[in-house]
Amino acid sequence: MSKLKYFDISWFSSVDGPGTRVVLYLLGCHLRCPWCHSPHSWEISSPLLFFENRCQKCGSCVDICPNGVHKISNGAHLVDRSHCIRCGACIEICPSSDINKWNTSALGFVCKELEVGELYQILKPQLDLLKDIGGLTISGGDPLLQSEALAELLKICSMNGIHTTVETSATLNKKHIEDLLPFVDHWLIGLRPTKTDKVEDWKQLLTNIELLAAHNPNQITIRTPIIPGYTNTQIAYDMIIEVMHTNGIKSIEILPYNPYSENYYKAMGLKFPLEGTQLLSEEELIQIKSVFTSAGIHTEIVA
Amino acid sequence: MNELIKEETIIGSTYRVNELIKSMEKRAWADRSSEWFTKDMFKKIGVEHPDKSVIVRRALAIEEILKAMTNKNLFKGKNPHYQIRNGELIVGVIALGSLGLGKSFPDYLTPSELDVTSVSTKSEMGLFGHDSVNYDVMLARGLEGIIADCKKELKSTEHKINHYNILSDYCDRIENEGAFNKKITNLKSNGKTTDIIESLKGVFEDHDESKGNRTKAYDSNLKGLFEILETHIHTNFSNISKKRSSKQEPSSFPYLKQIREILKSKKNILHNRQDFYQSVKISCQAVIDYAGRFSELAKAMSLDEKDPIRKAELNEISRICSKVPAKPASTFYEALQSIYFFHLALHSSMSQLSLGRLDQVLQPYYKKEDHEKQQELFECFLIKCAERLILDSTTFVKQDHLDFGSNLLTIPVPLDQWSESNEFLQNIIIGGQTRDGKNAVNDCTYLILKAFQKTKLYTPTLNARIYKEQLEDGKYLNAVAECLFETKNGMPVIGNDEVLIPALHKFSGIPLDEARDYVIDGCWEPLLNGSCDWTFRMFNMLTALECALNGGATLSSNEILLRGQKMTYETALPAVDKSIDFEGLKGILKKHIKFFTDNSALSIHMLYLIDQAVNPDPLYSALLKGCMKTGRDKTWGGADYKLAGIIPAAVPDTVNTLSAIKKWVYDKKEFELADVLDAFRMSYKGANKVQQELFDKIKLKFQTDSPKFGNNDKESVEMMQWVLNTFWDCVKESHALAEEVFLYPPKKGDEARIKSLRALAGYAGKSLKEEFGENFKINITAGMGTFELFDIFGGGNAASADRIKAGEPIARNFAPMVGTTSFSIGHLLASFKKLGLNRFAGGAITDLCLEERDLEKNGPNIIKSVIQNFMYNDGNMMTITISDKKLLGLIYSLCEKNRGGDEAAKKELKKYEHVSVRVGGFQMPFVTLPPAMQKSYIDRPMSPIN
Ligand code: SF4
Ligand code: SF4
Repeated sequence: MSKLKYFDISWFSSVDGPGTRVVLYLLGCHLRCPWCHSPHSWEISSPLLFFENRCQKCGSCVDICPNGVHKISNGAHLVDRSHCIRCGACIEICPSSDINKWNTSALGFVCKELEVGELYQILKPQLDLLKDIGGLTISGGDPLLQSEALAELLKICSMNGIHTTVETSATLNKKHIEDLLPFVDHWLIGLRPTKTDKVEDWKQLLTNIELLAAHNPNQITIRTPIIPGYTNTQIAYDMIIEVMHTNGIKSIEILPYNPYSENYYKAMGLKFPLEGTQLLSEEELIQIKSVFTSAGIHTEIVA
Repeated sequence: MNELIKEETIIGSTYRVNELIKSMEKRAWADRSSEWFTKDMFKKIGVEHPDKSVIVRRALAIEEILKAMTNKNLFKGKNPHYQIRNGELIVGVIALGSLGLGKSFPDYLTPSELDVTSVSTKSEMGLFGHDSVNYDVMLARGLEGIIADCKKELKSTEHKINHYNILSDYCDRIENEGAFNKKITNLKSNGKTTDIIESLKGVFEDHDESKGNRTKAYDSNLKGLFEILETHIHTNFSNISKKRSSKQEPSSFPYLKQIREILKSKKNILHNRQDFYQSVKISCQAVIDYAGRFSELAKAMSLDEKDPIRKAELNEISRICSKVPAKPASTFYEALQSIYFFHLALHSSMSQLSLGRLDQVLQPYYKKEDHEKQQELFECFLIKCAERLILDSTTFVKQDHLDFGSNLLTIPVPLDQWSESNEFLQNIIIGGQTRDGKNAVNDCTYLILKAFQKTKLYTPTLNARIYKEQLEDGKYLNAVAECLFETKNGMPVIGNDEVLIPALHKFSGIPLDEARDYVIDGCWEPLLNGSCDWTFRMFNMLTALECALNGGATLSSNEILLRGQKMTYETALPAVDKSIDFEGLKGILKKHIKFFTDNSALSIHMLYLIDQAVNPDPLYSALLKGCMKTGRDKTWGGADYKLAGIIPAAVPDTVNTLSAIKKWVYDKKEFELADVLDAFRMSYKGANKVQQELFDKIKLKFQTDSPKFGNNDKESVEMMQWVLNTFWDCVKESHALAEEVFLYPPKKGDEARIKSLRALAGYAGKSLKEEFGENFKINITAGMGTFELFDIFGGGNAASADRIKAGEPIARNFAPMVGTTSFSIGHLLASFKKLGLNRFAGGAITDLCLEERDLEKNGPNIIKSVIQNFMYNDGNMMTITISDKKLLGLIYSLCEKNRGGDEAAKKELKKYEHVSVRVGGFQMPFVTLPPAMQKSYIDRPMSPIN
């Protein structure tokens, strides 16, 4: 059996597809949108994450690291990842870190890798619980990058009567979508035209949406993050509406910008691209919503 | 005032209910200390009637308090117990009291009995619930029916006593006749028993002066005597004839002496019967009279009432109170009022008992066409059960009326009185199966669910039983889920019939129909419906583990105790003796678990007799199946079944700690056991840097990289299986031992050994079967939980795998330690599947807490799925509370201000009186909890599942 690389599982989500769902977040993304709320999903093997708020400044990592990645000076803990060889020694020794739980640790690697069958066994108890009221959503990263292995997992789900949803940018070769198509009950397609989009990406996206819509347009929900300065333009809204109308897609979810992702950029030693971006007001959101509803589209704001 | 009002504006189905709840809450926020009875308001029953038996005095005390509750002159101003509030439809007022605050009740022990309680540590103030009333009989026959039975029994008992008196006279007379003795001595010592009896018959007949002129009565008396003689000689002949070979004076011929003894003990039993029926009569009559005084009050009030509608209501109340509970009920209204009177009398007189399967009890009186009226009536009834609430916790201290008899020898730690201050041990059970295995859901099931959903009260506790067929029955499950979702307060508690019925029937020896009729009482104990008497014992499984690791002593940092506090047998020290592997450690642990189950099972049997001398319960026995038939109180072998649970706390903690030790000490050999034990002892605080580093490592591995119950991983599941199997085996072995020592008459030749075993336990009485007859038996059940005592239980333990400091609370009930699981509810529930929880009729309850925001969409359906999954995985019992951690934080800070005397905060707090949390044994208003416990709900994740 193939293996899947993932970085997180959420056991109880009511915002990622129909009903209440388990969400599996797969690693790897080719787009790297500046508003991404999980930059740690980009690389298939993520860099060392360091959450300063959980660090006790004990210095153990400084002593153990063979490459001098960690430094503590004047009470500040600095991490120079360029020399890190991902040996894991610092995580092992850190009193505030658990190698299995990066999201509660000071130091961690997010990547987990499991055989499809094992992974299903881990998901199964909660999928059994949610069977009648939701199912499994695959998110990422972009799950299409691991489509072959993913198809195996989704196949097991459909054999067990588990409803499946895949969230993707749909900007990769349609072969990936064809891999998955027989086992997916619902698609969440990220659609957020910006000025900087590459033409080929956009073309690929349209091809893929056509392919899916031809299959069943009711199985598609469009998701659009509203990022001030990037995606909140009338042109973008018009493009989305057009795509939806042409393909007979009836519902959209708008996702307001989430400032909490800054944390992850920091943990990776990256600059937060949206630094200083203002939150959208309630009124703005309602106004945007009305743009879509007045075009006859079922619209929901997902907070 | 009756019309239905828009749902969102009011609590309850009608405006009346809304007003009643508001008025109740207003009272609950006041200082209620002046509403309590004080002892000087009562007659001293024990002093006035020292010659009467305890049970009769107890009945007189019940009568006394019910009189006091309607005495206009006892309190300054109005007697708070003798009033009918505006709008009330169900009347009567329960005297204040709760599990945590105790009761005020007339003294009924004599001064010397009271003195002796200092050694028995059982007092007359021992407030015990944990039984459940089946109101069927009372509604069908009325208390007058029961009193009539008492009279009949009293008459026939008196008749029998006379009969035995005559027989005693015969014995006296015969003994004085020389010829009798002569004839007897002529019998050969090896004569057959039948010969002896025949000869004796001859003797009696020869020496009867009325010979030739015998009456029928004489014949039957004589026959009775011979019957006694016959059975006695048959069983004892061999012994007696052996003894007789030694020289014996004819005048002390053993038969007559023994006949006299038999007669005497028979008469004693009959006197007990007399006292029993007498006290049932007194206490039932006291309830009838109490109801009568409310009938008078309602009548008087109706005369002054201007509003014609209320006037008519008061007249109706007056009529009903003059009818029930004396006479059978004929309507839903009468049935409810009748039940309430009896419930009130029990709860005002130290017996905090449950209401039972009210959907089954009420259904015969339910009329579809009167649905709305009945709905309102039931909600009024619930308010009456709840109106003892006290919401301002700053007034608890001066209302503490508990005494030393409170923990009833059942638990090894003191009660958490504060958190129990609003626990009344009243439960209602709905749904499940009927005695013949059919679907028990009916109109009243839905009516009751709706009433809880509308009134959002946290007492009584509602329990919903569910079985397989009902999983398919969407309507019932939906109603249950909706009630849980709407009330957010854990109502109803879920009991899984598929697990609890086999647990009672197959594994605890209860007949199937009784098992199918089970109820849930006290905190969450599964019991039989009005046919059993229940008790329990608790112990701390983590203490057993400490003892196994430390040669029978706790792990303590107190140096004056040297190795630690000695609790059980001294056993080999696995930290010293390296030949002990992990299997060896398990063997040692089993010994210590057995110590505690022995202690429990033996004391359950040995102390069975103690209650009748201090807490007989004639009022409850009036309705408890078996008592009226046998003429015995529930504390004197009267109930059809005697059930006793053995319930260890800290089972999840034990599994996690044992698993961590297995992994890191025995499998990976990364740490020395001695170091681990030091870390536990010293709360992971090293004496120097080197030790601290080591302890940090141990802590990290134990906390974050060890199997944890609830994650459904193979290791923790297997460890839980082993602990449960071992505990189960120990319970069985201990039960057998207790029965051998206390229940059965000793086998021939074994008398001396059994006698000395009993003496060792401090017991000199007869075997329980000799005392109560061949059918007497105590069915022992096993369960796992903490009730509300998780804070207190941890107090005696060192640190462990999940608790970084000595004294920290242990895991709640049978749920994972908060914060130790990294998967989902589905994983916790799936781990139940492999544990064989259908053995545990003592209950193994899991308290889940869901965050409100997770249920915003799809709430009832999520809850329904959780219940279905719980059933599918053979879970035992479960509660689901819905909470909002942020909100709890806000309330906590307001409470802190209130505790500091801030009036504005107190006012603000009233908004949040409906917010409640599950406290292991019951649902409690969050505002009333002790500060430390409040804080624990905020500091840690809400749910055992993150
Ligand atoms: S070992 Fe962990 S806690 Fe210590 S300084 Fe490094 S990151 Fe911080
Ligand atoms: S993973 Fe290894 S190389 Fe990278 S920082 Fe940690 S110890 Fe240094």
